[in-house]
Amino acid sequence: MGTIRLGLLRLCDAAPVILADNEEMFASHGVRVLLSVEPSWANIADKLSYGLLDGAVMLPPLAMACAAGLRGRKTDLVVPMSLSANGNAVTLASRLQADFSDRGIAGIVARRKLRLAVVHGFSTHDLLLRYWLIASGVAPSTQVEITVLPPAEMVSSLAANAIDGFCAGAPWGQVASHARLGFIAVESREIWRDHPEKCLALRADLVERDPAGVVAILKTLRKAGVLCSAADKRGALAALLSQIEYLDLPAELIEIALNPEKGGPVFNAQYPNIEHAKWFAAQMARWHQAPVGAFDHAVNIYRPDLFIAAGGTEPIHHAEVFCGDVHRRIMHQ
Amino acid sequence: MKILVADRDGRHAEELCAQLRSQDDGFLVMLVSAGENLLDAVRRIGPDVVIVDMARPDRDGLDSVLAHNAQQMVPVLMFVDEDDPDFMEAAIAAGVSSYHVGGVALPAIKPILRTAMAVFERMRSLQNKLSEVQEQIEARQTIEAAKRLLMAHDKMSEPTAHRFLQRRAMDQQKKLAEVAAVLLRDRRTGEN
Repeated sequence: MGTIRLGLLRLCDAAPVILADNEEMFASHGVRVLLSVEPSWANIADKLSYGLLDGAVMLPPLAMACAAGLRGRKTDLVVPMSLSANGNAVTLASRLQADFSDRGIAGIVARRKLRLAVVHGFSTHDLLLRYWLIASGVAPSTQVEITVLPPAEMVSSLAANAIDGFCAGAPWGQVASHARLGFIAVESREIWRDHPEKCLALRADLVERDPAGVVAILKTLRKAGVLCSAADKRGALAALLSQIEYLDLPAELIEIALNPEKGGPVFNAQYPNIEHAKWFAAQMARWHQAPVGAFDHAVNIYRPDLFIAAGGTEPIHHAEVFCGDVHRRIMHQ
Repeated sequence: MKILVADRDGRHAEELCAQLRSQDDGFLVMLVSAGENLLDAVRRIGPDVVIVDMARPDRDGLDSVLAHNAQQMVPVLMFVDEDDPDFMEAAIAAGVSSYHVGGVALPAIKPILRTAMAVFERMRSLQNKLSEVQEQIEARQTIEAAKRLLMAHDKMSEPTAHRFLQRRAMDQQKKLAEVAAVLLRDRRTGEN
């Protein structure tokens, strides 16, 4: 079978794919994989759409928007596994810190409209930010301006006062607070505990063309996810991610960003839960003025059957925990 | 028609501007300023068509303008030719994407995008040739350095040093320059 091309961005939560490639784990599972580090989500979406990539580390809402034909050409994709949970943070400019502790986000917004950036219009970051805002008593569509910036430009934009805050994945919140330009107002796990973050998205025709290759990729990434979760290997993983072709940032900083106990990504939550897809669909329908039923089919791109076929298991169901609690805590600080 | 050209570092921009201007007198071609965010440039200039280098990370900003900023801005939509997927694939492979703003007609975009693709492809092949030449120069310098080392330390003559490297390259089925680089590295660590 031919080489399978997987796209990724320079982010901490691409770790399982980077580790698997570096340790030649794909090869030992009998599949040839070529990684392609891309500069933007738009590139990932376009290349998936026109067959220049077979799969990618993807934002679930973007995968669903592509499948629904709401972003570029309608593209048949499948999501056979999740790659990470948690890991994002809403970071606000340092000058807002005292105000935030006293009055919360609603108190700040009541006096001044904030400009907040997310990494893509169809992203977990956007949906979680909006969910947190509304739970905090802020109307996302009118009381703040939500714009889009590349993750690596968030910190410099904060420094230049071009934005008042951002919601992005690890390590960008840590980078901003390390530079004393911003502070982490809320971690994404506090907005939705163990929320699904990145997923593996594959072109649907790859599953038909090379089912054995798909199984091999899923097995590899299941194993890689477990390896990435090992606390004693975190230093080595950070060193790998810090290399110039990936994040090109200090390893010490990445190691902190990778700590799940400090809000970093969790890599062993891999089951592609259709209930999660339904949540994304409902939230996108709510905020993106999508036609009624636009995401009905897109929910079905989640394929737990493929995950099970590759030896995965369905986890014990836990009730989802959303940020009502956080809201109360912030208000009573 | 107002066309905004956004490439990563200005390498393609001038060439593309010249080509587009000669293509049609009615084209008003403008550039994204250095350091300016793509979304801000679209707001400032209000173009009909945006030609974007796919190497720009801020391209995501245009992906969802319709969804988010409808009250502030006319919709920006990616150019998609449903009838010609091969053309779209070629554009992406060339590293060019294009967006239309407001209601500009789709057929008007294709020739603009085609020009951009030609420029991007030509510049890339020049770039590839340049890196090829640079690699050749570096390889030659490495081989020369390894030979000088063998001549100075191992008292070999120039032809003997050359044959020594050649034989090692054949034995290990590697390129001469690779063998030379390994030799230099080993000797250096050996000295420390």
